[in-house]
Parts: sequence; structure tokens; C-alpha cells
Amino acid sequence: MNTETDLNTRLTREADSFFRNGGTELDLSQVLNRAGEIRRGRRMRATMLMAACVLAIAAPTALVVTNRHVTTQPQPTQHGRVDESPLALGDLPVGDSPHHGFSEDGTWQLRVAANGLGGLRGQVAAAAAVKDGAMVAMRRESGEMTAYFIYEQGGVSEQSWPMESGSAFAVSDGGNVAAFVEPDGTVVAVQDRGTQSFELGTIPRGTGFTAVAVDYEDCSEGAACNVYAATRGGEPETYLLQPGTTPKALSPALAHTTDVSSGRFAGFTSISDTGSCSAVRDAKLTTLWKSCDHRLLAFSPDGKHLLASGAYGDGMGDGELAVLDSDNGKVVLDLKTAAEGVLTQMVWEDDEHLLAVMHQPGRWAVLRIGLDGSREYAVEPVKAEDDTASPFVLPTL
Amino acid sequence: MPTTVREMRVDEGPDAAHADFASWMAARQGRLLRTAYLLTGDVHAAEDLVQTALAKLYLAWDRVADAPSVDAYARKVLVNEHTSMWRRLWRHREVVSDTSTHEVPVRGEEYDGVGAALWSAVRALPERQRAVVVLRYYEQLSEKETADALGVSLGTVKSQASRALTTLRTHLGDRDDLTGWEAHR
Repeated sequence: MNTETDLNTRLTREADSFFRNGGTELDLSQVLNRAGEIRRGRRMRATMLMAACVLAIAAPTALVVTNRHVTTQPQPTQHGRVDESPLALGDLPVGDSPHHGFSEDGTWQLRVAANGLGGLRGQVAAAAAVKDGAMVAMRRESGEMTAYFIYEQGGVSEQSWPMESGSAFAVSDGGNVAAFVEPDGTVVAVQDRGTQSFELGTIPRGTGFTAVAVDYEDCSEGAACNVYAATRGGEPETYLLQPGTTPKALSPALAHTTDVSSGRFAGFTSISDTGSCSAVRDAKLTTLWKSCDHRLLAFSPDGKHLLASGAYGDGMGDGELAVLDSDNGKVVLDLKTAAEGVLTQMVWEDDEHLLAVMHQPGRWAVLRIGLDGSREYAVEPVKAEDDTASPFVLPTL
Repeated sequence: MPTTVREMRVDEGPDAAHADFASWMAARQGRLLRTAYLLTGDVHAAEDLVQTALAKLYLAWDRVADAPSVDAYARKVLVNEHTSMWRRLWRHREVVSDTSTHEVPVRGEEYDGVGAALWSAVRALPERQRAVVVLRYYEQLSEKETADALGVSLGTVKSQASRALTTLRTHLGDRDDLTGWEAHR
């Protein structure tokens, strides 16, 4: 008997002991009850938000202030010009294609189709819009990812970099620097149209991290560049990496950071099976505002707004797209999807517009959504070859 | 545009999809429970993990029922649910343990001490290594299938499996009374 077979035998025996140790099979009713709890969690938050909207109109002074620093999330301003009808792949106008490019069926779409992208192997798994082009991560059949700089008019950087599987890019506000994490935990900053790259240090825990923010346009030796990298799962942790210094683990209060802008950290404060709470904090860990109605995804390029979604997320897509005022958490826009509609990716396109990949039975499309709720197709609906996997990848900013 | 299978399900009514899910669950939950038990090391945590994973699968059933492999999809939901920070934080908040049932291993006819030691060593592995061990050596998935389920690269699966096996061998090698598993070192 070899080791692997022996291990299988031992594990099988241990797995079978689940029932000997008192484990039982579940009734369908137990599963349906849990599904109901999850559903009710979503509805309850939506209902509470609607009720609070009514209260906000009748008595705006009723907003609760828990202390002078921390406020609960204010309710949306009532004005008639916001289109808050459900998102659906219906009869919408067709606008420009995504301004910073996008991937369809694993292939990056160039503005000038005649220019090729030789040397790229695999399918686009992640992308980020940067100055004069895009950083694109290609995933091969083996699952390994490689990052490239793609020039706006075609052509690929000579250099490429290994990238942690399933991770994403973070980009500086001006788009000159893109940061990412290599498979061994080394954080790399690529800048100046892909001509320079700098290793900023290796996260001690190694694998399982993704870059979440870059706050400077130069990460060369001695520059005042801050790159933040956070865990994608497992034990939450966020690291700060700066040129020439050792990676620093941030306070546990910032362990769940999802984005950073102008010294403000957005991220989770608590997570449960049926929801989550999030907050925006400053570098002194002062909580500026918090919300248990939304989870915070990404600051707008100008830092004025935060893209958010429902407080509950199960990794199977979202049914809500919200935009909050980053100063106080006030809801600027809150859109739900129509029946069976799912949003699988949401990103900022510019300060005033978002792009969202949406699925409805049999179709996928990319919507462009304005802060006033206006919407159009950035990519018209295509037939779904696979209802569970989006054919589109949008670049982050 | 041709009618999709999913649209046909809607036409058939919710009862058909419900019955479809119930049938799948009856056939597959035993395997999921066993895998969850190996992942969590705890009977109650395993039941809870599978209950949540099945509930999420049920809510997404219209979308996944016709996927090429529902089993693979369900396994992915289960593993993600376990490894995701959502799950981990919940576990930190409500620590569940039935260690009393594990501290005294059941001494069946085949009990030789190695199984308990190995199980103890597996439970002590870091979360990702343990997941790789469970998927590779219990579920007997290929390295590629394991990488897909965990959402990591093939290289990560290889390195994590290698480290896990080294740890297990070292752990078992510390015991003088073992003559089984570690004898293959």
C-alpha cells in the first residue's frame, strides 16, 4: 500500500465516523429553513431601509448619532431625478463600449482591432485600467496567472509577472502604478507604461493575498508609495508595503480592508452567515461612519463615493448595486435587480459612472449606470453559453 | 433566441425544480457531510456547514441545476463556505466543539492507533493544506480539480499537498508505537 492510498483509506474511515459520532443527515425542511433565513435576512434589510426612508422624509432629525464621530448610515435624499427602477436587461439604449476596455470570452478587446496581442496565453482573469493601457492577468489551463501590460493601441509589454491565482490589481488614482501580489506573497508595483517594476516586499504569510489599493504615482526606491494588500479569505489581515521597508501588518481593526482612498479605509467590521457590517475609518482607527445595510466595495476615482452592494454576499452574484457618499455613508443610489437578475461584477468607469456585468436567464450584458440611475448598454446582451460563468471581465480603476 | 433549459424549468413550475433539488440532495448529502466533517473536524460544525451550503445551492438551483457538474459546483460552494472569511468569522463568534467525541477514538476492530494519530495530525494542518488533503486524498480529485474547487493555482495545490504530507509524516514519525502509515516514508 502506498502513502496516498493509505491516506485515502484512513480519511475514508474517519469520514465514515461522522455518523458513528452522532452526525445525522439533514431533512429537506432544515435546508429550506436555512434558505429562508438567508432570504429573510436580505428582505429584512431591504424592508428596514424602506421604512427608514419613510421616517427620514417625515422626521429627518430622527437620524441616530451614536457619538460625535460615528453616525449610522443616513437615508437617501429624496429627489425625483434618480431612476431607482430595478435593473433589467430590457429595452435600453446602446452606448459606447467600456471606455477602458474589457474582456469577452477570455480575450481582451482592443480599441484598434487590427493590432494584435501576441504572446498572451490563457484567458483574461483580471484587468485594471492604467495610464495608456491596461494591466491584464491571463489564466492558463493549469490555473496559474501571469500579468501583462497591454498598450492602449495594441501590443504587450516585454516583461510579464507571475500573479497570485484569483487575486486582482490595485491602481493608483492617476493610473501610473498598478500593484499586485505574486504567488509567493511578493507585492509588485508596475509603473510608467509597464517599463518599470519594483518588488516592495514579501508578505510573511505568503499566499492568499490580493492588492487592494495604491496611493501614490511612484513606487520606486525612496518614493512615498503605500500599497495595501489584504487576504482574500481565511484569517483576515491587511498589510502595508512601502519601498525599502518591511511589510507591516495593519491593526486588526483594518484587517478586512476592501479599499483605501485619501487615508480612509473601507472594510468590514463584522460578518455573519446572514449579513455584515462595514465602516469607513481613518488611519487613526476613528470610525467615520458605518453601515449594516451595505458592504463597501470600492471608492470612486475621485474618492467622493463608494460602490457598495447588499450586506449579505454569498459569492454567487449580487442583487443590489448602491453608491454611497464616502464622507457620511448617505445613500446616493440604490438599485435592485429585476427578478432572476444577478450582478457578477461592478466597477467604476469614471467618477460619475459604473459598469456592471449582469445576467438574466440566457443572457449576459454589461450595463453603464450613472449616479442618477440612468442606464445603457456598454455591451449589448449576448446569449449565455454558461449561465454560471460570465463571459465578461471588466477592468478596475 | 431559443428557449433555455432554465426557462423551461420556470415554465414547468417551481415544484419541478424543488423536487429536482430534493432528489439531488437525498443522493449527495451523505458525501457532502463526510467531506465537511473532514474539513471541520466537528460533527455539529459539519452539519451546519452542509446546511448552509445546501441552502445556498437551493437558492441558486435555477442557475446551477444544468451546470456540467452539480456535484463539483456543490463541492466548491462547500469548500468556499468553509474557507471564506464569512465562515471563519462566524466560527470565531460561535465556537463549537465536540472534542469529547474525538478525544476518545472509537476502537473498532481495525483500530491500530495510527488512524487517531493521523486524524489528529490532519486536524492540526493549516486550513488550506487540510482542504487540499481532503480534496486530493479523500475526494480523490485531480490536482486540477482541486485547484478549481479551491480557486487557487495548480502550483499552490502541489506545494500545499507536499507541505501537508511532509507535516503528516513528521507528526506521525514522532510516535514510536506507529508501524503503519509512517513506515512508507
